[in-house]
Amino acid sequence: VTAESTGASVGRLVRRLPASGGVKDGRFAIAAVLVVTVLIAVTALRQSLYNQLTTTSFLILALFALSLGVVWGYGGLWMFGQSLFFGGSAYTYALYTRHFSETGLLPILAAVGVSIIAAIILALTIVRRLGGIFFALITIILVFVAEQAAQSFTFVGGFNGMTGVPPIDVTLGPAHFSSFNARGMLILVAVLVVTAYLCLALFVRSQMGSALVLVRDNPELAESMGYRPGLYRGVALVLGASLAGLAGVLFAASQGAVFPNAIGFTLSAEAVVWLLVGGQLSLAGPVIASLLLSYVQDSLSSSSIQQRWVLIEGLLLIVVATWAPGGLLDGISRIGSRTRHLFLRQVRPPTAEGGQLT
Amino acid sequence: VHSLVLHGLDALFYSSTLTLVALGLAVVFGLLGVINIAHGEFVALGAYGLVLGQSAGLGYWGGLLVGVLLAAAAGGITQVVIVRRLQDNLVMTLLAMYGLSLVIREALAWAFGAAGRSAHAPVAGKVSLAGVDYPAYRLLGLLIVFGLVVVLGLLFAKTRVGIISRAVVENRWIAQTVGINVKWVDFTMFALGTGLAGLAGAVLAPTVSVYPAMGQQFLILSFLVVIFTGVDRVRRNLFVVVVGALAIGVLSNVLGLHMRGVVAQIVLLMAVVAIVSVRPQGLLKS
Repeated sequence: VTAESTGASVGRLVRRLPASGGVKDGRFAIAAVLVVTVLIAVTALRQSLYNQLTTTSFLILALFALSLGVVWGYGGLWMFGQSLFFGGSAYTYALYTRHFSETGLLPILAAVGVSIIAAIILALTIVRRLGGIFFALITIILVFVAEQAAQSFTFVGGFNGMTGVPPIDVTLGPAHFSSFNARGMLILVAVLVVTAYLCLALFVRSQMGSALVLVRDNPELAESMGYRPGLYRGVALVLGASLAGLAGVLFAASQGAVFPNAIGFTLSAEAVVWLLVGGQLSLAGPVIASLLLSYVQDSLSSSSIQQRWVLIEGLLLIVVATWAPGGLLDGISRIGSRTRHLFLRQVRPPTAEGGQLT
Repeated sequence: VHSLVLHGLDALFYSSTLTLVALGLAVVFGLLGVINIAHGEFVALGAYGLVLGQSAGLGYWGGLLVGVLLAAAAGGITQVVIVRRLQDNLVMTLLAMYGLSLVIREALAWAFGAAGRSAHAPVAGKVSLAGVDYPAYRLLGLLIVFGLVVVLGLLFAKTRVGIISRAVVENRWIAQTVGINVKWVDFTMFALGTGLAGLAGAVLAPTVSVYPAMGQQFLILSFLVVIFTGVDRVRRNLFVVVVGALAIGVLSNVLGLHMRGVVAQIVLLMAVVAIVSVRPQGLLKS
């Protein structure tokens, strides 16, 4: 049996599995991400420098939300410590550029490399042995301790964090890019969000993506077919970690500083909120939800509601988890009409007539 | 010898508060299977209950009761509104409980301000014990925890209520078929677990500063205790948690003597993660 035919058969099998929720982002979801990202970026380019900077950071957080979407939605890992990768590589970038006083491609690669290594270690130690709720618990504990460590070790600046982080400054052959230029940075980040999203949307349509979904939805079946669940979960974790790491570097470079909250539980949990509000099983959901919530929070910044934003977020989380576990969009479309298929290509359970499937 | 006795008593007091916090978590997480990430906030509710009760002139014991009832009532409402609806969905329950922890923390900050409050101990001064002057309240706290463990042990082992709740944990469906109202048992146990958290907060309150996020540090440690003890083992016998809490409490105190607090915590965490990776069923032998 060639690899190709196995992949195709897994793809078919996954489509037959009952109750596996959304499998792939539909055309509408892909179009929505493209339109929203481009619209946001183009609008911001015509506005003030301040707006450009905030938009840049929102888009970076959207990239971060996307990274959790891969780990959680496709790896099926209940990751509550995604900021380990984000903050870890942000700190690495800051430390590297400070100690070797060097900018360019190398510190970026080093920082992303550190978060990939961290993901591999996690995959080898915890993912392989303990799945499910234990993974959730251990990542919660890890991220709490990481934040405390960042707050108290002086070589990373303690509570005050690290300031004076240099912007990205890369020369590749004739091309030169510097994030000193706020517009350039904004365009770069927007392009990265779109590219990463499209690559992942393609990836989950590939053989490996189908295998991932199989492992997520039915690990026993996957194992009996010779797919090692631990390996595929690990792949999803590493993919997510590299993306989160990239987001961390961009964040550190665009803010010019890293603070302990970049590696803290609050940021991790925020990403989980985006994921939940957007819908766990699509990639577009977390991206759009993160942008939406960031803008809502930002537009409230002048009012007194802003001070109670965390309270609102907590209530939102309770409401979504309890009454609309498929995400807010899903919940609304369930109530309103049958527009759900626009966002997710829904998998139908096998029919009673001996599995005649589309 | 002096410092040894002092450190021993400190470790014991620390372990006993940890026992109290972890016992509540063991009821909710071990017996009911709910990952109560808001456990620390119920601890804070208990502490604020004591502060409120004392400022209303109810004294320490009245305040203690207010704290326990406040946490238990909040837990009861949570069980009905959130947990019951999400019965089998572990991760959604976890997320909703996280939302709840944000809500409680922010609500406390809104109502009482983010700054620390203080509660008064019912007994002041120090007691001389084996040549060491030790704060009297800490000894009282030790007694309260010890008494509570005994009372709970008797409750679970001897009374009808205890037998019924053990039956439900053991086998829900059979318990239901013999006519036990499992919904009611779930509700009571959840309220009991959060009430215990509230009691822990109220007992702790006079020794620490009371602020909205005060429960967070205990959350991680008590999860460590339950994981270290082994969830399955906790289901069979709630009181192995006491042993686990003692082990973690003493270990973290001993580590704390030799290195910085954060380093000690990292070492402890790594140790527990390593142990759990090798023995997911927990370290302690049954």
